[in-house]
Amino acid sequence: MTELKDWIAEFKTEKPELNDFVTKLEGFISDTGFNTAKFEKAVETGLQKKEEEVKKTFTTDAEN
Amino acid sequence: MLKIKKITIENFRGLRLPVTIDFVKNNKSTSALIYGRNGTGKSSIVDAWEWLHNFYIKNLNRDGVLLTDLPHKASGGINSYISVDFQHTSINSATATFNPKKITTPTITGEYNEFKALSTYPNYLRYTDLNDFICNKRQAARYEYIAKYFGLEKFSLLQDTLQTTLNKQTINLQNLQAAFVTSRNTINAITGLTIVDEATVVKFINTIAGKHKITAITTFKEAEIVKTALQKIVQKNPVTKELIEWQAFQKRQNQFYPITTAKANCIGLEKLFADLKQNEESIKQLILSSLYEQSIEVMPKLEDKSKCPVCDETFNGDLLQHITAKHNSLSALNKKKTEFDAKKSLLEKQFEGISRKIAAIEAESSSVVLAAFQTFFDDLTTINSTLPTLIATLKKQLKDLVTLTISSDTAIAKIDTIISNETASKKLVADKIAALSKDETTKTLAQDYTNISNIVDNFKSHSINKEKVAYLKSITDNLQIFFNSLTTYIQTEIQNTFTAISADVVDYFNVLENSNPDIKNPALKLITGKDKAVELEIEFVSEKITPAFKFLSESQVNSFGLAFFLAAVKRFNKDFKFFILDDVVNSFDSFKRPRVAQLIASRFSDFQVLMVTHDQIFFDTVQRNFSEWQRYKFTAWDYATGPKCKPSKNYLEEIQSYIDDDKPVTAGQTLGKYLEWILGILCENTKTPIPYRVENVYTLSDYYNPIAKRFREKLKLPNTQHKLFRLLDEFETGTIFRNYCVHWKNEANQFTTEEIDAIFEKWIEIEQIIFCTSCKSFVHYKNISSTNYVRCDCGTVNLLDQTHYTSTR
Repeated sequence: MTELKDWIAEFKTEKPELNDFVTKLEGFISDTGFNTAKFEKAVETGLQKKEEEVKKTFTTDAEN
Repeated sequence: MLKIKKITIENFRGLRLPVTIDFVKNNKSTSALIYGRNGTGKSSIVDAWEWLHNFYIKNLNRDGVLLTDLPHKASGGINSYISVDFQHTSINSATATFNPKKITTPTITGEYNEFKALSTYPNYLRYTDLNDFICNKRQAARYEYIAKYFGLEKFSLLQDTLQTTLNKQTINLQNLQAAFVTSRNTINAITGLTIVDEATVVKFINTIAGKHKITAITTFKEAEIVKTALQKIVQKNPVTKELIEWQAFQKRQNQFYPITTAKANCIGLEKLFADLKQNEESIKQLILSSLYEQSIEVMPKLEDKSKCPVCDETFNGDLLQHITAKHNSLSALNKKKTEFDAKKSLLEKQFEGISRKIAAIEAESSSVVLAAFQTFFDDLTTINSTLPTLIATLKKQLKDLVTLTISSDTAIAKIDTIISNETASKKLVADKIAALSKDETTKTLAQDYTNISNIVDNFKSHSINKEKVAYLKSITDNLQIFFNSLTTYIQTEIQNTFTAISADVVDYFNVLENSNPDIKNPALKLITGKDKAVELEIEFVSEKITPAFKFLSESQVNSFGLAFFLAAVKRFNKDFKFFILDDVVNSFDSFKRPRVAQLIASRFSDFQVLMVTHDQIFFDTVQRNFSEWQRYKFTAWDYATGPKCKPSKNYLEEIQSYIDDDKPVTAGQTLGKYLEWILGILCENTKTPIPYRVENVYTLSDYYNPIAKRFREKLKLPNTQHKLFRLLDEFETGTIFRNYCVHWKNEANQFTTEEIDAIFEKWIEIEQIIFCTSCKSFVHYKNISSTNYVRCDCGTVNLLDQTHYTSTR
């Protein structure tokens, strides 16, 4: 029987361009499924980070 | 090959003292059978087996049973374990012990990992699993069942949770995209262009800056400098400042209105509340309404229609009619309660909407606006002070509400006041703006400042959302690719696996359904465009029928469910041939239950089986057919010790034991019961008509004489004598058997041990030629194309075979 982790490894080989993404995704995958809450929190943090980055571009020079 | 020697469980669920199930008998590896009424702790064994494999029990988990609830309550989580001893070259045992310090990870000992490597696929089937497959109308539920037994449960679980995540993130992305489009449209409306980029925005800002002699900027980073400079000019012009404040308030005012009155809804809800509270006792009964509803749905599917599916008590009369009447009597009240809940929910949403609108307008900072609208803002404060309490009240259940007085609340009156003032308020603001806009310079300056403020804010929002959209789109796109690939894999595996086992599925289905020639070629069809939907297709009289579930009877669907499981078990776990069936025969009509035993005998003779049942007749059938199995009876259960468990004898062993103990009356009565049962099976198998007795009381002769005659008719060949005829003659010889046939139920008629023993021995001789020990079936009669067949299911025993005949010439 193909184990889930083996399938994921195979997927990475078939889609090398998604390697980084899947490696990150693996942190949320366990035998009981996908940790939705943890993933959502991570996405929210990522979005927040993006906002902070863009906001910096509005203010840096203005403050100077 | 890995073989089980014994399973020992202690302090787990309903099992307190150690319960040991042996799988060795007379130094030979064998299977085990457990009989017990409901509540005697049988299913705890299957629970423990699942826990040994997965460290959780899915169906209990679904029902809210926590991992901490798994050990027997009295054990305090100490010494709670399942241990399996094996017969194998390198695997001696595997044990999982509950770990109170880390409940998700039991302590494993022995060669656990080696055992798990050989027992990877699900090898246990409960009645509830099969029932889910049959009764669940959701296609996704059947998909999950099939995925589970095809070893794809973890994949299916991942697919399920990924789908949820994907849906949520897609909505999240859509909201961000909508916000992005709104800011883009606002910028376009200000600039009058269709392009939104830094150069366009900077150019627009510079146009305004030029008009007011403010230094031009080169990048958006400097936009705030222009805005601040313009703000200073505005501050020096009080009329413009006021105009801007009124314009900003007008915008918020237009978003605030319209507001709908809540009074009428409140009064309507209170009236319904009063009506319902008058029937307080009936309301309590509403809890029963859903139970009645489910009972009405489930009752036609039950075999015993007199036993209440809710309380398990037997009802004298038409139970379905009784429950339907009870349900109908509550339907008017139920309707009112549904209306009340709907109104309550509507009002709750309305109040929450008003709350949000107040939050958006109440933070007014302009002193001129605050002064002109003091009453309005005071009213908002009043509404805000009680609205959360009203919302909390509406969130309560009917049973938890003692009184309901919302309509008289000050907030409701204030909401109506605000509504009635809408036109006047709007006019006041419009007049103020008109009065302040008379001077063109003032008007232009206000417009320029508003435009600068709006374009700066919206371009910031536009830039942030653009990045967020790109970030989240990349995640959802990648997640979708991963999800699609996973779905394709599962679907392909399901289809491939089904193709590989379909011959076995058909074969097992035919054994269970007694070779229905019109139903064949079951196939699985995955529904295009749906990720978790699968339908069974069947060929009926050469026509493909989809979905087969609509066409097949419930019993045939049952057979498919079991055939799927067994075919998967046979295909997987090839080095560990073992499975558990927990009460699955319960789903089958009583006449089909022996076929489950025949299926196991004929197709799974190399497997070890743990069969758990609460059906006495099935237990007798399996005991009789598999005398080499270990057999246990769970006779009772108590909290302090768990099940009372004792080895069990089958009918034949029991009769022999009574004869050996010189108890002829008990031996005779047990033999009578047994003969009644077996002769009934033979009459059915050979299509033998028996005399009809209106009083429904039959003697053994009523069964025996027609069946003996039938055998003689169907096996008769010229100039020969069949071996069975001789045995039947010997069986009937003398008056003892005839007397016994009529009087075996009457304890006053004493038979000697020798007499019972003689009858018993002769019958055993007869059974030896009419019962097949391979497929565990008695011979049956069939006429196919004018040819008679008197043979067992597998054909090993064929009574028309020449070897049974001797010449009489």
